[in-house]
Amino acid sequence: MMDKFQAAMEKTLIPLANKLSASRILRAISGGFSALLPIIMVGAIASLLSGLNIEVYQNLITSIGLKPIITYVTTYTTNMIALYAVFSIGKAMADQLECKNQSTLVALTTLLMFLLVIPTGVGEGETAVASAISTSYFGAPGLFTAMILGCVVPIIYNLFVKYNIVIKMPDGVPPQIANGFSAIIPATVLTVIFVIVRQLCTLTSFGTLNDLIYGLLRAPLSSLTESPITFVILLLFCNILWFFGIHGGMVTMSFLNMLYMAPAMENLEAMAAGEALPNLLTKTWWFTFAQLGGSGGIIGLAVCMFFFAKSERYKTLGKISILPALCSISEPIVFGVPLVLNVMMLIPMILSPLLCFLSSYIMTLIGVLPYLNGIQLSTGTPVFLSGFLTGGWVAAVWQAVLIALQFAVYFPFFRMVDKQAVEEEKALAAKE
Amino acid sequence: MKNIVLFCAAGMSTSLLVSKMQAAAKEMGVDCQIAAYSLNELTAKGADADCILLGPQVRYQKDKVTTAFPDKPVAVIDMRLYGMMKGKEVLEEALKMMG
Repeated sequence: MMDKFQAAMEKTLIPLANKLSASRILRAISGGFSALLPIIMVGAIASLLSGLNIEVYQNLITSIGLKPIITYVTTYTTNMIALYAVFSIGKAMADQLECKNQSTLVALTTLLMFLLVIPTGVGEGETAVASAISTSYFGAPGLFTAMILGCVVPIIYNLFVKYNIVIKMPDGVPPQIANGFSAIIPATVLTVIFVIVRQLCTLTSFGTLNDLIYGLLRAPLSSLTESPITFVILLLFCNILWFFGIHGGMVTMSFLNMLYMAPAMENLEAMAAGEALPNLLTKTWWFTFAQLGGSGGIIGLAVCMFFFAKSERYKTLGKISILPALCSISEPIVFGVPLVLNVMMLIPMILSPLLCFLSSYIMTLIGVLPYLNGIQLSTGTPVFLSGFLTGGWVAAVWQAVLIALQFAVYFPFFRMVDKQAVEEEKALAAKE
Repeated sequence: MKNIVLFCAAGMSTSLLVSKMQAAAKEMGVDCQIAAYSLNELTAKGADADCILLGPQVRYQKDKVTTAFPDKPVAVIDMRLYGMMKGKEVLEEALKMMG
């Protein structure tokens, strides 16, 4: 019966995972964001340095004049993240289309469209500056526009390439130059389109395309992201995929980026500005609390094995897996125990991340845990350090509690598989 | 020199296996280059490979890899060998694939 169930699930899940990871839009957004890592990291470090909430430290950096210098870095990284995102998402999108051999040109055109819809002039009346652009369009609120334009502009551009509506140079012209010329028609037509779009937006009550997109998407999206149910669904989806041995994170990460990146960036901006953090749930939650130790929330299980295994097999695996687990790399455990297709381990594998998430959520609601600051740590950041950097020492201590929780969830199930392994080893020894 | 390339989601867990495989190669006296990358780098890094191995967690991408490189041997690493980080066994498998 179980075999049939597994076969049926594999038949539906593998194509689903395939389809999701083949979706151009999801790939463009997730590829585009992952290319932003250096900018996000530099911004995060600067935010951390300027926002670190210790009075002595704040007084020190303010008195020696270091604070404005650090803030300056945040201004050009975190606070302008949409500007970088529109280029890199546009490029990631173009890379998947027929216009891929000129993806840099497509990305530049996408950036141009993004800028075209931003109004010039800042302030009103006496203090108005005509030749200025408000950088607020480049920050977290602009990410929605960046994601949409990053996908739409390359698709339109691609139509010109596909139907060959480009200026063609004679054969002897170097491809570099020919490519530049071939971009002229699509870039010009797109400019006309977006200038019209810009003008049309001024007729609406929103005024600009950015405010229109933000205004229309913000409410439904934030009710989606603020709800813990959304997070739980992503978490369940990810870990069920892992149960079938499919890299769940790779599939769910695009959704996580799309929904929870902007809230994380808003928190970072707020931290750098010394304001209260606006968003409870952000992308940071995934690594810091919910999937502590990687998929399946397995640090607790690694601890079970490392200290309590009786079978040779799990003793060895405990030694192999504990350090990677502390750095959120769960594959040795997922495939070594294995958790994959192991019905006995399915319950704790689903329960451990779920309980880690829910308990952290409740503790944050009642004010024991602080809001996480939105720093995007790369996978491989050791536990405790990840907690400390995103939520201070309280979060780091809480991670220790979560490991104990994971341990409690996994221990009874681990005892069963360990016992089984001991018997298998005995039987094998008796045979020899 | 043979070039063995491993792919997984981020290239992180696979790089653990790579270091075990490299140690095994040294021990066995096999002269080969082994490296791990993220699947995002498939086109760039797969081109010079003599043999492509996929982490079991990305086995659903195998069709894509074989279509991209129809002439190269491509295999998904056995789940247990991967989990227990059995570098020697995986290396032997790869050597067999390349003949």
